[in-house]
Amino acid sequence: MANFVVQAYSNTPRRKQIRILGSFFLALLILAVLLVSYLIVSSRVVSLGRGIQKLKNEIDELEYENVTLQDEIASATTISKVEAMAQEQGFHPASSGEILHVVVPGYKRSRSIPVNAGEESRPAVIDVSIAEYHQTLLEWVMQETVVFSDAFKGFEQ
Amino acid sequence: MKIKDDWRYTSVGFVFALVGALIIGQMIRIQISPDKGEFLNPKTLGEPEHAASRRGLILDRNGKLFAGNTTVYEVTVSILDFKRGAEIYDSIRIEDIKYILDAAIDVFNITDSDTIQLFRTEPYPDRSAVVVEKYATREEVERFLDYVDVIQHRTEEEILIRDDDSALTVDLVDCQDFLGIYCEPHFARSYPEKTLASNILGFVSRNDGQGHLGVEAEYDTTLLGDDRIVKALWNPYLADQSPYPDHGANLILTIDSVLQADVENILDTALQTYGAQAGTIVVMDPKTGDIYAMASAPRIDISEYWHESYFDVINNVDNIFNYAVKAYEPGSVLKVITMAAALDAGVVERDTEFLDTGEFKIGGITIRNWDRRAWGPQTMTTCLQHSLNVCLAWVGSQLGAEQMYAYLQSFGFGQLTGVGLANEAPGVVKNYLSSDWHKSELGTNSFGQGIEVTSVQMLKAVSAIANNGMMVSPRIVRAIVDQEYRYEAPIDFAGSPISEETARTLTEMLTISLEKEASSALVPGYSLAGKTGTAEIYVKGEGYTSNLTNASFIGWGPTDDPQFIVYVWISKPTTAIWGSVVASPIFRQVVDRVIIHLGIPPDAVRHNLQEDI
Repeated sequence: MANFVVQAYSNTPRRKQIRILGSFFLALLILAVLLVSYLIVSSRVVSLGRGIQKLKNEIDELEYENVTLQDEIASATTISKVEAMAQEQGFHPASSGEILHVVVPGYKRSRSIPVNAGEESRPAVIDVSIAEYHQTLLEWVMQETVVFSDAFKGFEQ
Repeated sequence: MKIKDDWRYTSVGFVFALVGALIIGQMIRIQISPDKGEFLNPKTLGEPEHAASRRGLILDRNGKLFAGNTTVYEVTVSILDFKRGAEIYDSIRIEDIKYILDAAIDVFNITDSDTIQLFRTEPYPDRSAVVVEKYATREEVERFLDYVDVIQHRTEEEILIRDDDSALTVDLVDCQDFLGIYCEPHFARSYPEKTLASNILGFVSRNDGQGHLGVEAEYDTTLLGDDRIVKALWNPYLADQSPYPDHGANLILTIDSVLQADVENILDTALQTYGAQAGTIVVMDPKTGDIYAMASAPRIDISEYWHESYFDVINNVDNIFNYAVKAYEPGSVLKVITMAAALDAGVVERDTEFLDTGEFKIGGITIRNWDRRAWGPQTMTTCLQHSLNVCLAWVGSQLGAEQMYAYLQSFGFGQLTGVGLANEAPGVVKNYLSSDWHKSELGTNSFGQGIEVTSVQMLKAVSAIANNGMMVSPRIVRAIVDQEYRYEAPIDFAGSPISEETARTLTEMLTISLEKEASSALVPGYSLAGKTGTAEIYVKGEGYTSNLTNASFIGWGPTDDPQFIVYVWISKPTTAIWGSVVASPIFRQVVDRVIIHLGIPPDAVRHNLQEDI
């Protein structure tokens, strides 16, 4: 088969030979450009992936740290500790006889609002900007070429 | 064939070879580029990523943390790594292995005989991963690493790098620099308030990771998060698929932690005063069913539930972990229900007269009063006031078995209240049509003997009387917060077993009864209704004995706008046996705290306020 192709090529006129070779190398060049582009994109994806992994590890660590802090705060503010601190400072639990109720005309009593009270909560709106791509491959190649040539503008003179 | 201009082809070939080399170079760079520090513990290298979820928090009604989480470490040592380090890399001396393992035994207080034997058997076997402690605290890990520092003769400079003063105490401990020692952080349940509300909360076992008893068991699936395991970690293309754990939902209880602490103090003091071992006090909002406080004794420190001294409380078949959901014979407090049924059915009226001869025969047994006296002419109000068994047995007989048990059922006895606590007892109410029921039980059940109820069942039933006939189910969980959503537990109106008129009449009767008979329960300035109860305890082989009693009290107030119901049960008091002596003063002390915490002014002030508005 290979001999057949070489023989056919040898019998081809010189100009035609050059045209075939030119087309072949052009196709190779385009393929090479595509491969390099693919590698660049892959490289970026890998870097971003690693970045995401690193951020996730940091999130995990922060989660552990937050939990520890929450526990430490709760341990430092237990009812018994707060009560002991209050007693040290001279406070004592009020008895019903020590409380003076005063009627304030027009004042409407409001009950204490419990934690997270309110109507059915809505989820927090988090603005997450996700990159969107509207370029064709050719446009991207052109853009990268411009960026690449801009990088050498300083050396033109 | 000879092709001319070979140099052109060579050049083109060179260009392609160069491109190929660049491609291969790039591939190698991608493979080896990540920093070593980005990887997790080498022990888990190549393993699927395990993202630990956090168990949901349990908070009181004001956001006070009852049950949270803390960071602990699973500490693993690799004897194989130690040996390799000594034999191949010379990074550790072979004799130091013994000291490191001894330090582990000492610091982590290892008692497992297999592990101790393994650590003390020379030559050491090639074990790659021996877990020395699953729940090591930060302090323990640091102490262990300090030992290893000394053993391995690390330079001060090396130690200083690790003991960076700028590092926060919450920073994760890093064992990466220590050959053969691995510390994997993970979450563990923590109970910062220790014994406070422990009977309500239950605990999470370190053996199976599941909730046991109380809210922890009842809401285990809600609190439990969802760990995620994926195999994507080491493939950067799949990084966005890397798992985010689904943390457990948080629970907001109806409990007021400050009132809970006060009520627990009152209960503990009362147990000491009256020489009792166990009891419960529950405070509920009759309009919503919210349990403000639920004290129970004995109590354990759930942050150290594994102590031997707690074993009996946790594993007792009679469910003594929380007396509020434990069934018992309530005695005279149940007379309130009998009277409610009789009034509602129209069998008796408030002023119906009854001649108490001191005895009432029913089903072949004779029922007598608590003091075995004949009290003569009585009204229904004085029957309650003097807590006359004879009178209430007669009322029960007038009502008849069919109506009596139908009312007991509609009040929710013999059924779970669904308060939200594990191991809630349904109580025992016999079916009058069953073969093991005897007619005498109609008489005894009417004054609270031979029937078993729980404190929360009594609160539910009496809420119908306090709340103008509308019965409300008690609830311990007010809301569930999952991610950003909050789900309110609905108020569960459990029907109207009695009419509004019956409820008002009975409230008036019990207000009078309380004022005249149990003055030690009264709080000046506040209108209260209530009933004492003293029930003899059945002892196998001896029958009912007057020496052992359950002293109870149920009361609510203010009667015109009820904002709390309080139930008191002291089991087997020894210094006094009567509910009026034991439970009534406790009720008053509790009400004294409740009116302060809930900000309920005296009736006169409240009426002035209402007029003003």
